[in-house]
Amino acid sequence: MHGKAENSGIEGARLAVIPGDSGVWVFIFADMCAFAVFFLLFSVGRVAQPELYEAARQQLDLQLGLANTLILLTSGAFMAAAARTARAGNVQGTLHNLLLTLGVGSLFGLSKAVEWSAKFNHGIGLTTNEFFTYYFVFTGIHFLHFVIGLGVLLVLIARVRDISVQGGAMDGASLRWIEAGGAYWHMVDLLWIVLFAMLYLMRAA
Amino acid sequence: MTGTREWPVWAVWTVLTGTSLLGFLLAEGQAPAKVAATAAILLAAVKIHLVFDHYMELRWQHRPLRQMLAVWLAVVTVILLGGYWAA
Repeated sequence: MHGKAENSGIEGARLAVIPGDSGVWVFIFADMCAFAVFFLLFSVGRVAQPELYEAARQQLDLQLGLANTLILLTSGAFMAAAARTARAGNVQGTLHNLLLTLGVGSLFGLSKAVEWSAKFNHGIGLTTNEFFTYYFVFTGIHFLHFVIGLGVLLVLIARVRDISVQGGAMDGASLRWIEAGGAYWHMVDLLWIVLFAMLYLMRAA
Repeated sequence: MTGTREWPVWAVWTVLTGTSLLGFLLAEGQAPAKVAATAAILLAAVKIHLVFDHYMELRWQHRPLRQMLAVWLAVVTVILLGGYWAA
């Protein structure tokens, strides 16, 4: 009975907790709402010109789109593992997982560079048509978020490395940083999941 | 949401990867276009739900935030499906 009551108390406390920092979540939600407006603009454009959107979609490289998705999901898995190891107080494990998050995640930048340069080499650019205007603007803004995410990861790695070098323990502030940085990195994942489905996979009849 | 139990990270990754491959194969394959596109959007919604619950760790935390994100996901899914079926 005592154990059950204690667990209920912990559960109740956890239900009120936001991982990381509430300010980060306000930013994340506002950003996600901005992207929802982008998705609405794209859908309205698609209704007006379905043939143009389908012809343009067929010029995208689905294999690279899938590769981008798998890269971000794998990097996100290491980020989730980093948050769990940090919560367990495992400094070395956290550093290891953060480095893997950064390493795997960086491949997304390489993949996007290959994809965009192939488009430019085929004479496809921002002004080719409405579909490609949205394609470059949306994936470009998403890429900017990705670059900011890499910066956040570098800050987290430096912080955890300092703890490791000093032989210290994971403190509450560092854990909140990792959770907040992780939430941001996962937002980059989930926005790409929508972009991949919307731009690459919605084949017209 | 998907309950309070913490899934192993590799299990979440496996489901996310599997649903990504399924959406890709449907889009590339011989499935009717409307079926493939609708499935791709619904699979994306499932993946985002899993990211909320298991990567962002919101499955048992802060109900108002979870509800806001669930509303966002519902709105985005309706926008994409509505736009596709109206075209």
